[in-house]
Amino acid sequence: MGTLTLALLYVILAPVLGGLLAGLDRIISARMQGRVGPPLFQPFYDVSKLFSKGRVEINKLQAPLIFCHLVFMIFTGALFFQGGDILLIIFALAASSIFFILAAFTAGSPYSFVGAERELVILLAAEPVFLIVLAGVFKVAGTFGFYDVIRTGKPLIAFLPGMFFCLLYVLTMKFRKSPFDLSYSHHAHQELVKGITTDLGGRSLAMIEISHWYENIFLLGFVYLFFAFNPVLGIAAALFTYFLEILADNTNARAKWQFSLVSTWLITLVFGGGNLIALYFMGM
Amino acid sequence: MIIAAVALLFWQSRGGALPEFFQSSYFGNYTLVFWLEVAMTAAILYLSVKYKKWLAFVLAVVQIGLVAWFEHMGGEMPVASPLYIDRFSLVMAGIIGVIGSLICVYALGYMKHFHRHYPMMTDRRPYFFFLLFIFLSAMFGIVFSNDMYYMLFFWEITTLCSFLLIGYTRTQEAVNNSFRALVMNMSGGIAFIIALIYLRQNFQICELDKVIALKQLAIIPAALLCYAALTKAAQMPFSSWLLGAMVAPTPTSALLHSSTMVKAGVFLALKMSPVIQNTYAGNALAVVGGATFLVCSLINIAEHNVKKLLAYSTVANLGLIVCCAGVGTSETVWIGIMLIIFHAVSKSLLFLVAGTVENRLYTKDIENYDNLIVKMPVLSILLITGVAGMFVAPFGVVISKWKAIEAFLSVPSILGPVLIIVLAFGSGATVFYWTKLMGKVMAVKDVPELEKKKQDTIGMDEWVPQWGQAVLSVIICLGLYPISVRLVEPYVRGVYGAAGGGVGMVNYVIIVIMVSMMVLLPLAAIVFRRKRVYNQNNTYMSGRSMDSDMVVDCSMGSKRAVTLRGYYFEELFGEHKLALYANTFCTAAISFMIIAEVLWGR
Repeated sequence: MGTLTLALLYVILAPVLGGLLAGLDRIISARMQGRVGPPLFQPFYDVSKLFSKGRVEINKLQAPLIFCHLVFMIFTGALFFQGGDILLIIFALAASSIFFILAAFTAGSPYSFVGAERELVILLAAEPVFLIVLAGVFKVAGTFGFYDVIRTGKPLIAFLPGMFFCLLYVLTMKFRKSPFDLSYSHHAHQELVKGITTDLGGRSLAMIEISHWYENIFLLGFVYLFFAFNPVLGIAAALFTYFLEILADNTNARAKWQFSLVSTWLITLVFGGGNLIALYFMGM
Repeated sequence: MIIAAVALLFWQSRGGALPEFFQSSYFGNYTLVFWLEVAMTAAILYLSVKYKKWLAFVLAVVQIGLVAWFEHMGGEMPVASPLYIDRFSLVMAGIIGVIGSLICVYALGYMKHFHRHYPMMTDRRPYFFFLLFIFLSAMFGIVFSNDMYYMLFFWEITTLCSFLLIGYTRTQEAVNNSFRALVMNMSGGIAFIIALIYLRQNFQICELDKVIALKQLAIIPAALLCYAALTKAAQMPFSSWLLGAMVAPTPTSALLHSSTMVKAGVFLALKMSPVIQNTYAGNALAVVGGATFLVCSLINIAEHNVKKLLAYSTVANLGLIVCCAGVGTSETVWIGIMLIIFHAVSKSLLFLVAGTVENRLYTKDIENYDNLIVKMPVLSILLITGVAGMFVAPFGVVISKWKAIEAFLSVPSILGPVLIIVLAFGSGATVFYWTKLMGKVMAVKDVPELEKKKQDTIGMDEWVPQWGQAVLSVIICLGLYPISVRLVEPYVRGVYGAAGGGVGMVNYVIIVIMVSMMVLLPLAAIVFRRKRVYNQNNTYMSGRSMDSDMVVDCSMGSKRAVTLRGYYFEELFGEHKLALYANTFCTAAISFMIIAEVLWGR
């Protein structure tokens, strides 16, 4: 199977898997809280309902920006599963996030605005982690391609435990889970209302949901990379990671942005940077 | 611009057989250069007495003394080829010619508005343009001189020109800042002449290509030249002169930051790369560059003033280039040159737009850039293009960062991982402050009609250079591959004898796809949606009633406008907090750079 086919497969299947994962997420969360929870396909019902709604928009800029966000997110993931240079892909991911943030900035409402600023804080916290983790991956595997890393058959997790810890830490932000769901959460009762998505509705909001599914599958692919020497273990680890994030979500209150930023940077510096320097002393 | 065109034509006519060295008897005349130096020194002495700046006075005297010593050293020193042209100098000539000229065109319109806005200031426009042209000529001189005595001469001209340009308005602040620039750059000039004296004393040479050919024998003069490069490139602790330079009219800043002056500094540093690779000096240089990049990026998070934001961003990018020069492998030199190109275009565009905004809205504060997209839609698009060029993938500067991480990975010493960590944090900060600015610009709300009329006051002499540079920034990104393969890679191969840098065809295709998406998607989306019908709704304000220009009805019938203020994190990243540590650290590193080579140099 060519890598382009795999990329295409990602484009088609990722929203399905991502949606199912979101449904599963809601059921598990509900069980943790002693509720029954919605049916497994609830996220798909939600999104299709959003698509059926009339067009209500704040201004002319926002919807195109959201559309660009979605397209770049799909492009990022497709490039990843096509086997492109992951470092370039991380920059593409940032570009996609920037479109989302700008869409919120255009609204000009205090809730969207604070949401956008906090999303920026998250980007500021997470960006170094990805770059340092990738540097570590390259040090061990000698390549930046998804399949090339897998083909080396090296157990990355054994070489990069510190990096993996950092990754787990920022994945909480990327999956939008507590304690780091600063910019928006799935519940509208927080101090930010719905934060960065406050002024979105209908199709735009549906696009955000779908792009989030794409992003989640892409990020889990990243986790898989650490255990890729054994595919079964890899998939199990990716799913377990997601479960851990749900657990964290349900056992933590929201952290302040100051704590989120400073703690992430410290952890990145100590564990990520430490791991990178340790690799150097191991002669890699 | 003409010189750049001639240089390009020359390249074509020789079928790309570069580098080429010229022999010329006309240029062999040192005495003329010497007396011009004396004249320049006399001008500096006069001004430093007039404004009672004794440090500048002393430095000028020391410098002319050293030049005179160099002149009368005796000993045979035949200079075979005083001028040369290679692909790097072609790239530089292209930047100086095209961007410099566009800035000069812009200056025509800008200075008209400037003097209308500040009627108290004496209108010395002919003098201003005279300086601009001399400045550009001197830059051409630097990039084409093989004889380093000539290079020093042109180097000093740029110092003098920038000093005079910064002091153009003659306010107390301008005078102080111009003298600061002068003093810092003259200290670099003194290091330069000491390097020349050392070279003449020990090797009887004075040509750039011969210095580079000496490799690590020339490490002490190379370290001194790197010091000169650091002062000119405004690295910490010398960054204050470039920040102070913003008191000058905007075209001056644009010129200093993009195509001239600071680029001369990094040009020299990159030329020295093969010599200082894997030495104490090289590593120290990389540390200074890396620290400057990181600290300036962090400081920018807390920066309110747009021009200062742009200035710190310049210093940070130069830091990255200097860092690449210090590491000095073939890959990093490739990155350094590409970064010079990309940064020059985007940064000059940003300065021009900032200047235009300043002349219309009378503000430099980021917070007042609110709703610019409604007030001046076209100008905002230009601004967004410029900002995107600085930090959004796939535009140039990000490409360089991406390649820099890859290059640092193969650095054999502990420096490699440290620089990667520095780059990772620095680029996170970069994303933060640029997106914040973009968000401010793109916020939409109704503004009074009067505000919307301001864009009409921008004349053709301002539009043309700004559009020119915006289009250029997209074109060079699309032309990344040809530029790299035809100009930069052959240069690197010529210097190192080994291939280095390059992005590869597959990645280039991806970059082109992304650039096209970046440009076309928003355009298409906006065009197609123009006809689409939708209900416009107000932004969410907890259900309070509100006008379209966001004036909210409050209790007791009062009305208040919504104002939004961005995050700055001054307690974490404030300039006053970070600058002192960084300056101390960099001073120590620079001292180490020179002292280590003198004491334990190979």
